[in-house]
Amino acid sequence: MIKPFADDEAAVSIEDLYIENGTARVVISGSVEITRDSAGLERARVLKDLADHLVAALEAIEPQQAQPDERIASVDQVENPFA
Amino acid sequence: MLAAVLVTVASACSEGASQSAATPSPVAGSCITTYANGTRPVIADARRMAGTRMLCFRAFAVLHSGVTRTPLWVTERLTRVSVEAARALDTRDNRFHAEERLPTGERAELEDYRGSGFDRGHMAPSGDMGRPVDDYESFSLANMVPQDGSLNRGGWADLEGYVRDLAATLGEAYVVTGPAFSGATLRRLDGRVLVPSHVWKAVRVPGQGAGAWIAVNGPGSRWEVVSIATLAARVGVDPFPGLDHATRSRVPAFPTFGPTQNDGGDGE
Repeated sequence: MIKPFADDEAAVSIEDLYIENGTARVVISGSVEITRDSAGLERARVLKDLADHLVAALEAIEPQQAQPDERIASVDQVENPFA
Repeated sequence: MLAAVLVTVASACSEGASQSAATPSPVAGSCITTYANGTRPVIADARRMAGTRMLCFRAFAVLHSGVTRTPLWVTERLTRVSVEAARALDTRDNRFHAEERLPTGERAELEDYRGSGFDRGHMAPSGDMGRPVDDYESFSLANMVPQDGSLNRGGWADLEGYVRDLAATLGEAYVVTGPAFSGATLRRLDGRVLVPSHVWKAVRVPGQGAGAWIAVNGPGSRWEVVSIATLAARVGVDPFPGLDHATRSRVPAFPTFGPTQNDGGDGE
């Protein structure tokens, strides 16, 4: 399981649900089926674990720290070397 | 023809044991097993071949460019067995990482993408990987391009699922995926990594046919379904050089996963 907001490189997936960690944001995309069986229970537990970790990490942030200190990578425009 | 083969395959309900992130040292796999007819993709333009290196992984192969700091093409061979194994790998735990086999002067680093607004878009998808070691390798930045987030998480993810369904249904598929760099100018991350104008994926099912998708790498991405001949002319990569003329020229009846060039208006 990821440590929410601890790094920019951890990723976890549950079936087709993808969770990417980030120091400023955690991105969750895709879909997952929770079947009414033991496999569904295992997936539900992983989802609960993720939600618990997210909430705990966010609750631990002091209000004055709540602004994400996201580094903004530069994006510039260059001539196409192949054109 | 591949035509309208879209079978919804029920998700395998596996016992989802949590996989811890493996950190193996990269081992050269056998690239050739991922090439259709044992023939690797061809790039005719010498400028595009400048500063490239081949990287073999266990489950896919990469031609990497030190000019773009991205792959130029990534090859995979999917089979019914490999797709079933990938579906059984229910929970994945992994880390994006720079490709240590590449010189620092040629490779992308995690910092290049951080806060850029672009996703690290897999070319060989994590969801195709049936073993933790293969899945770990798929998180190498040598297998990534800067990809629009809505495309990566939306239509492109749907396309990847479609190709897995195709391989599972028909038994075997060779898949080549890559970026296209067209237009007079390109965006660049961190002064280092070039952002592709488009991303594309070509599929060949032996004895059945072949075809490709091209999607604009931006919000509300436009999609096209094209023949292998058109793809090669448009993006400068011939994914299947051994393919006969008739099969190369045929436009497959593939679905698209977003608005097409002919659609009016905006939208997902």
